Amino acid sequence: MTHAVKHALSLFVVLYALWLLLSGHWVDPLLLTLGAVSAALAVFVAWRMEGLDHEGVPVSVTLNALAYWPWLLWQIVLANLAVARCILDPGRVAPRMAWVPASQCSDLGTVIYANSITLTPGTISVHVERGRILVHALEGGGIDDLEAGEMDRRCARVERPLAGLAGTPKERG
Amino acid sequence: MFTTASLFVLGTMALALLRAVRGPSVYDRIVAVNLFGTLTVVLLVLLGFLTDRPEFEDIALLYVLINFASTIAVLKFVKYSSLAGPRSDRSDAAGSEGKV
Amino acid sequence: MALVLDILSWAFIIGGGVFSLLSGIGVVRFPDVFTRMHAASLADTLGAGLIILGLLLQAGIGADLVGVKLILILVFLLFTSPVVTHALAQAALLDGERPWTRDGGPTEGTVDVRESEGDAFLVDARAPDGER
Repeated sequence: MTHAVKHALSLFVVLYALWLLLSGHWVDPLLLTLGAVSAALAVFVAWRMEGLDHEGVPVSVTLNALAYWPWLLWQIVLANLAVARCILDPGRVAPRMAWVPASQCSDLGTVIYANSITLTPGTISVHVERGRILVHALEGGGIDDLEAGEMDRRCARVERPLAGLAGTPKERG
Repeated sequence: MFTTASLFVLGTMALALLRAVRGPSVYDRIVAVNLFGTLTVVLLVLLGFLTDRPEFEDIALLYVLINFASTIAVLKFVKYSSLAGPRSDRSDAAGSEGKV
Repeated sequence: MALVLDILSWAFIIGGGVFSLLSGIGVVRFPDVFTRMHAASLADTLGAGLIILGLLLQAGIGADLVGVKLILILVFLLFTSPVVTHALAQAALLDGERPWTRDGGPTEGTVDVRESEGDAFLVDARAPDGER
């Protein structure tokens, strides 16, 4: 129960902050109240959809994710340059598709890893299973880099706060 | 500055359209349309700066999300010929989604 | 100071424009769906990203919170584009698109649709073929 309350509160805070930023109304009490009501309504809908859990509102991993993003952005820049070289010289294109191990213990961690793979141009996660991801790479080197495991380790670090959560390692599905 | 960027974006949109027209499979076309949508977002942002009307940024913000939802919806429609998901008589297939 | 900002945002905007143009060229000239997706993700990440960064330098936070909205657009773009790309790639593969390889052979890893984990969606998607 206390977890649900924590998730509901943090979702409300995030939504209300977003409302304030997008609307730009910071003084009129009527509008502020209406904004709070609409944010609360959104939280209620999320609760009815059973979206208020560590996956729907991933507050516990937010700090770690923020620490992960700069590295990911740098990887995206590097991968962009590699793909740009391939476009200018299509002779370099040598696609490979192979399974890459994913060592994350939660679904959320695996999703973060798969999305990071897809976000870096040159590698796409095509199919995700527990413990491994099918990756299509524009150049063979993309898969070699993933198999070296740097990104895998960093994603596992992001999801570490979830490690002790009850019921996290779900059965295959 | 904004005009130059718009020209780049418009050129890319033309290339994406070319792929959408030529693309042999339906997935080629969806890739091209998705790219076109992303470029529309960038163009909307640039238009806001070109015409000095910041409202366009809000439209672009919405269009990012609409582009996402519409691509997924089209993909789903192509795959299952229905927007409600696969037709199924198996009870467990509906179990995870149909719960109230 | 204003001059430095101008030069920087020119550089970012030209860079972003070049990257999105490259992505368009890639989408046209690459050989199959999967490689074209790689090209398209170029515009989703650096193409749009650099242009928006360049505009951000011009606008600052600005009146009407333009800067905040620009950052939000970029964040939403970076969150949604991999989901779409993954969904597209998976749908294409399960629909029988075979990835192009240089020697024309099969790829090392693949998904056997028939055995893929009893996923209700995948199983039902194949139902019209008569096999379940």
